[in-house]
Amino acid sequence: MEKSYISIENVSKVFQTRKHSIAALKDISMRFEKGEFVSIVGPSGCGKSTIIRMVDDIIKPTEGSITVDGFTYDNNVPLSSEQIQKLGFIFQIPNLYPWFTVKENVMLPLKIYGKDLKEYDERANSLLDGVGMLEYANAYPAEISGGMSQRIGVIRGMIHSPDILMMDEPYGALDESTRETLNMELLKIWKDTGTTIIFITHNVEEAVLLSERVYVMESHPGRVIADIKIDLGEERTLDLIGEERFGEYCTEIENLIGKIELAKIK
Amino acid sequence: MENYALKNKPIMRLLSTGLPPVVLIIILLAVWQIACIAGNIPKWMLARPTDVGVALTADFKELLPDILSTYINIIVGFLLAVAIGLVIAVLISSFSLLSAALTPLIIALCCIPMVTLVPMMMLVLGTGPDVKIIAIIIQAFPLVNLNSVVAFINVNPERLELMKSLKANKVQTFTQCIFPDGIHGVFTGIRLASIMAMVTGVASEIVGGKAGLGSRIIYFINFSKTADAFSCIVYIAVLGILIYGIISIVERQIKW
Amino acid sequence: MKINSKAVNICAPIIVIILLIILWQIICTVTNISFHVLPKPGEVGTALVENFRGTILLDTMASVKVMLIGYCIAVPLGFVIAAISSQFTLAVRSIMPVLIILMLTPMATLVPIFKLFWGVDPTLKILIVVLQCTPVIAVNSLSGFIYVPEAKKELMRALGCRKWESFFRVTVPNAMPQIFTGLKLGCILCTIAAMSADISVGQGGLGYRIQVASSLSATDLAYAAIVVAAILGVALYMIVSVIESRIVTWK
Repeated sequence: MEKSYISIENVSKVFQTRKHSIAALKDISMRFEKGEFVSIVGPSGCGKSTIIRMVDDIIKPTEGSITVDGFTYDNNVPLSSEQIQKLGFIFQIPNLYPWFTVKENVMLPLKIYGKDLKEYDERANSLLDGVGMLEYANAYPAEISGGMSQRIGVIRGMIHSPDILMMDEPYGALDESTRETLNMELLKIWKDTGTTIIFITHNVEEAVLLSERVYVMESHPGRVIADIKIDLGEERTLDLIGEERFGEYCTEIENLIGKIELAKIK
Repeated sequence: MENYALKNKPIMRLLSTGLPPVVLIIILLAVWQIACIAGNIPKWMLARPTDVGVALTADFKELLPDILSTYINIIVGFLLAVAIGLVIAVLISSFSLLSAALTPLIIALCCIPMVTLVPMMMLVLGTGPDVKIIAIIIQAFPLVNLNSVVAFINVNPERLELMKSLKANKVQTFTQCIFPDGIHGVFTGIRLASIMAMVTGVASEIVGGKAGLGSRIIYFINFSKTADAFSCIVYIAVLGILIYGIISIVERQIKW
Repeated sequence: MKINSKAVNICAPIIVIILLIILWQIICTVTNISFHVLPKPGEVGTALVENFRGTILLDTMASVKVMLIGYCIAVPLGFVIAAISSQFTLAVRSIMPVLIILMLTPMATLVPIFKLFWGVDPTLKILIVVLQCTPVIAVNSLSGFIYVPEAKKELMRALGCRKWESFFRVTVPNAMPQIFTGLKLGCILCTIAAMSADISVGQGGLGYRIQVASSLSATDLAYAAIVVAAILGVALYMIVSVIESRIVTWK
């Protein structure tokens, strides 16, 4: 079988606690093409976050293999610095370090990668400017609002221009309007850079609005139940939400998830 | 309840935090003074605060070498204890086997009164300052160490995950994430260690030693110079306040 | 890498202790160090057994008595001081710094002065222990009492609880970790204070035995007494830790 840009093949993950072993993911396979924007939706506990953490090599799969851009992860071989820098991860919470300024937080990945920070000063400033945070560059995280922090968390994940961006419900904690603004910003960045984006959310509308493809998952143990292509064209704006086809996609996915919930109640 | 108007002006703030304890101390001293006079307690038995005040200034020149010796011993011992405690904490928090092997022993070490070892160590090392400094280090470093280890191990898991995501190496993870995240735990340990350093430093001077304020107290009491003995205690308390105050000021510089 | 963690936690420190004792023995044998300076571990063990009934048992009992009585007075005393002063903002502000000063002042300095009043009464030792332990317990409990999350307090107010009720149901459980920090430090200071009181007051006790034995060059006996003192300190600490793990189960 030909490998995609990112291939997750027959991956299982079992978490070992002191007394129990919990099967978080069971035999899942997913593929992502270069430049795609794919969302993963599903109920909480279905292991969506675990998948991108395995792609980011934060946790190792119990079984199965993960291949990113031709390199298959091996527990005994650490990623090369080139491979590491292909990956960008954006957390559910801003996860800024309170001991660094806003700009130092944005620059942190470069610092860890051992880059010359001066060379990237302009890029950091333009990213900060892009999300309207340039004037707060020297502020500390405690001095800015939650929405501002989340923007900083997002551009920190992009500072090193990763080829693959993994986002773990990045706007889950924000209010509706901030979230819409940030989603539109994200689409613009995606179009401009051609980054491959794996976007985790439990908000079906958000998934349909943003992505070209949606994976639907169910829980206990987590597995993929559907892979739905969203054919809504290139231009995605908030106006789409009113359209009939948009509603159909949402209903289809919600039904899929709903079935799982119903089955669980029975 | 809180008077917010007070909070805005630094001078008022200083007054509102500094004044109550000073007033309390003055009241306690006044009670002491009155009790001495009213009870007609002989001066050799319990010195009056006014006499202690006089002794404080009158003895200063005579006591200076002892003050310096006590202050230097305790400060040097305390600083070394902090450094040693931190280094061991870094090692222990990085290797779990080391933690299992050493943590119970380190807890035991701070429970063992080092004062008891002072006479023994003097047999080997003589009556110089090194015995006292060693005793202070052994008694004080476990507290820095234990508190730091707890802080380092309980690092915020999300902050740590960012380091894993960036594939930071061990040194980077420690300096960029674990250490700043646990700094307040480290300071708790440092503050507790300062208490141990004070107690052990002075106790070992009382137990065995020719120099230092601790041995001076015994000397003064033997000559029934109670007021002078109290002035030594005041000088010891001043060192305690000094160390504790500096630690608090340094910790306040940390804004997170 | 899967190691049975419980076995490691018990075995590793024991192995380290055995290694240290062996190292001690080797150093003594190789350097031929004088018995009066550093006796061999075997000699200390023998001294411990031989003198156990004669002197060490009595001294241990004396020290344990001082430590326990002193500690048992200091704990409620420190707690009450903290509880009462936590109710008044002014009291917190004025008492806290004074307690910190007391906590930092080694009470052993007061022994010679107290001797003038009471002579060499054994109760003097208890007083020293109480004076040394109480401030630490009070300071830590007080700092726990002060920082109660506002939301929890509001909940109690909304439920119409009385002040004392909210103190015992919310403030105290919330401050438990800090209270136990104070209690554990109290253990350590209690042992140190008892030993230094023994040394400077005399009248029996392990500290006194160490002093006497070392001045008579009976270093093996002195070390035997130190070992017992160490065990006492560790035991007291362990007891409090076990109680803590029973009470503070949510930490």
